[in-house]
Amino acid sequence: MPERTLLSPARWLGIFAVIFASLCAAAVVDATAQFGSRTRNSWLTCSYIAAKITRGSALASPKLVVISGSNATLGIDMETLGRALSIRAFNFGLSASDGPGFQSFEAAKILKPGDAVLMPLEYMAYDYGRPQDSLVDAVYACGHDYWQSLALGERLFYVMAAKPWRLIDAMVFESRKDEVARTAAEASDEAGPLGQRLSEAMPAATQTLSGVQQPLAIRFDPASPGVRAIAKFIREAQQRQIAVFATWPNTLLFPEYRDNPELRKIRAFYDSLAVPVIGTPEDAMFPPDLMGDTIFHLNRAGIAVRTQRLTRSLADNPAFNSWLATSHGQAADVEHQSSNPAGGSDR
Amino acid sequence: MLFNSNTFLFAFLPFVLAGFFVAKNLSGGRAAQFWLAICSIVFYASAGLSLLPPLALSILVNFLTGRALTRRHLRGETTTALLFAGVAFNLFLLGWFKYANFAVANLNLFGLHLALPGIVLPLGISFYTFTQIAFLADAAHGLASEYDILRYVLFVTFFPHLIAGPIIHHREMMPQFAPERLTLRIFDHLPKALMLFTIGLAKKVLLADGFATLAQPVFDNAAHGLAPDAIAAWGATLAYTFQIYFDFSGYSDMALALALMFGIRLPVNFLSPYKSASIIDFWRSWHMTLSRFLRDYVYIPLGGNRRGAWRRYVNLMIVMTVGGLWHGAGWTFLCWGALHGFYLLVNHAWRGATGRWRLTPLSLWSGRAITFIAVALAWVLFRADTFAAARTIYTAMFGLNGVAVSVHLLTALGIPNGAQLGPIRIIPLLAAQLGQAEVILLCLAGLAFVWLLPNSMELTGFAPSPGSALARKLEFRNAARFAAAAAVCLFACISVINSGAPSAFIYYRF
Repeated sequence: MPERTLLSPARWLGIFAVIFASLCAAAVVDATAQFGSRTRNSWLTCSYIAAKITRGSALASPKLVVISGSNATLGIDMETLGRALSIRAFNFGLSASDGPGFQSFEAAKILKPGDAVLMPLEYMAYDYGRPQDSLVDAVYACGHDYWQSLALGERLFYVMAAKPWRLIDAMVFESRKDEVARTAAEASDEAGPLGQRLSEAMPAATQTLSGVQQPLAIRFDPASPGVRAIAKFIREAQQRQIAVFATWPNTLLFPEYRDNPELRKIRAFYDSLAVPVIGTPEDAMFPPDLMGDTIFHLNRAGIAVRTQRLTRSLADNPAFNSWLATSHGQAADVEHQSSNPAGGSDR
Repeated sequence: MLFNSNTFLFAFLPFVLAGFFVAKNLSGGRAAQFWLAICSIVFYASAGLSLLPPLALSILVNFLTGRALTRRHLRGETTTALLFAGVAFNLFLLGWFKYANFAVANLNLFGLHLALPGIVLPLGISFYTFTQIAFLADAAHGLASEYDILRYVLFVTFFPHLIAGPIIHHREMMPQFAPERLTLRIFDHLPKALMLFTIGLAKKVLLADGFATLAQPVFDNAAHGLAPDAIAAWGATLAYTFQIYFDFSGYSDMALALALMFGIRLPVNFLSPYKSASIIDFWRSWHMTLSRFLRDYVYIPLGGNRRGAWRRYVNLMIVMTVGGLWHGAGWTFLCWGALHGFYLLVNHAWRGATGRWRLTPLSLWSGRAITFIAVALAWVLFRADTFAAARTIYTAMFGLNGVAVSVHLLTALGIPNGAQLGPIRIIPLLAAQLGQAEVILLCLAGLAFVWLLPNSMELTGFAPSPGSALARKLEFRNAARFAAAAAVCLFACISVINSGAPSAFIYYRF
């Protein structure tokens, strides 16, 4: 059947250009409207981060801050670690899906010169590429400063990734004032005094987890945005006189991980940045009976073992000991100055 | 510079098009030729300036050899020795850049301790070498002649085909590069070219890259010795089968569309190969210009089918093994080619024994299914990094690593942990790790796409229309609905491109 109205090439191209330009403009308008709008999930994340920033900033320096995904919050007991090493320690573990760029950007807000950072990043951080939906959601809710810190191409990603229906979710959520308040309170409680809330009633090893037989595909991609973000954060931290240490994430033990060349690449990456790596990957690998609800989360017993092993590894590391000695000295100075009414040095 | 990158889409292409229109309208066809040649060289050099010397050397030697061959042919002198020398030069160049590392690595297996040359493969060398071998052969037989270096440079480097084909013939391209042709009104082609380009981009960005995310983890794991279960292995194999289809077909669409924007019509390279009811038909519609090259310049000179059935089979095996090795310097590529040679041999033997079947719906669909599965099985060799990785995938496909099933499904079915299904082990799997349903559904959607829809060549007039009602409805016309569809589709592609790093086309590696 012949087409009713065939267009001239110029007219056809004109229609094409107008529609394409309109769609691009709509995407920009949509993205602009999304900033500051909160969905329930993004508000949970934002409140959690805000609580961690408030409590972490209140902790005097020098302090040890753990930056990672949730393997840290459900892996390292900061209270026990801090007591064992006689340091102030704070857990800034967020979620692995946030990626190392966002995790370190937010954590940097509580860091001061003289502090130390320990990074037990989940293995997916080393080939983290396209930001996940949960991160896009959080960035639109409370990460405008993070978005502004990105390169143009990465900013464009968020513009293109803004889903119009997210605005509807946000409007529905904002209309429920009590839910907004409840969500913030829930997140604040979850953040705990030292960045984590550990209860005795944490999930025990699950039947399903012990049946899982597929190990993670660990990949180190030096060109990935994840690895580039880690390197950027480390360089900036080192410039700010913040000591950086890396370690391995707690995860379920698989024999296949033994002699994995990707793990050697991760170590070489940190070596190239003069970042001491604490312990071995095997130190952080645990059998199913010590695991919690995912292959990165430990149960209460697992956290105790993990914290004990990590404490020992940190204490055995000369670079960490050097930072520890300096930080203990600084802490003593601070105490001395605060006990001296003049606040000056006792020359 | 990738066709699916922002730099190409928003800077290079508009700039080249604008410059081309200005050049041809203000200064004529010769200026347009010059502009296109310069831009094509810039396009190639954007991948690295070090790529230029091998390309320049190849062009210069082949141009001079071709000119000498033409003169000898016109004088009635023998061209065999010069043709042999020219082809030998091309094979040496290709061999040095593409196969030296491979050869040394294999020689070292015999106890030699030769240092690996560490040669970097120049982009598109397989394509521009074959294009020029064809030119030399045609020149020796009086089928091509070229005395204009600018036109020859444009013929070899024209950016739509330079990196990954199609492999073009001098005689089909040169009349189109003539200055008087370039000054014709080519604005009329732009809507169709834009539509075809958008279809190709969508195949690459929305489909091929999507299937890649399903295939890659399993093949990468296999390369590290981690064995998948049967469902994951089949899922990854089928996902790769669709990935390479949409990747190469998308690239071919874009190449044809880009050339059409300048009024040039490249040969069709891809014509629904998965609709083929036999392996013979598959190779008539997959990478058609490579098949044409191998037929005209390897198979027929070897004797083709003129020296009996056995000689034909030997020739087929030689041609397909060469074709396999052309794709990459590795034993897995060679074996992939040999496997297809074997498929062709069986197909010809079957036809010889049974005669040509009358195509009924049953024979058509069973032929399609058998061909599709045979091709998919062969892709494992093509995709796997090593034989060990390929063996891991094949072993898994035949159930020897067990079948992973959701723990919830096992519980619902009352199957205990560690149960066996005959010789096949059942592996309980966390719901969080399940992507099986998604993979199965996507593969079924892919199959429906490649089997049931008319292809982009048919829809844009590069190939005869199948004539179905659906094809008639989708055939391109300068109508507003096509402009809207192209704009929406292009916007979707741009959104996806800017949601991650652009991925290279598979055939860029060859």
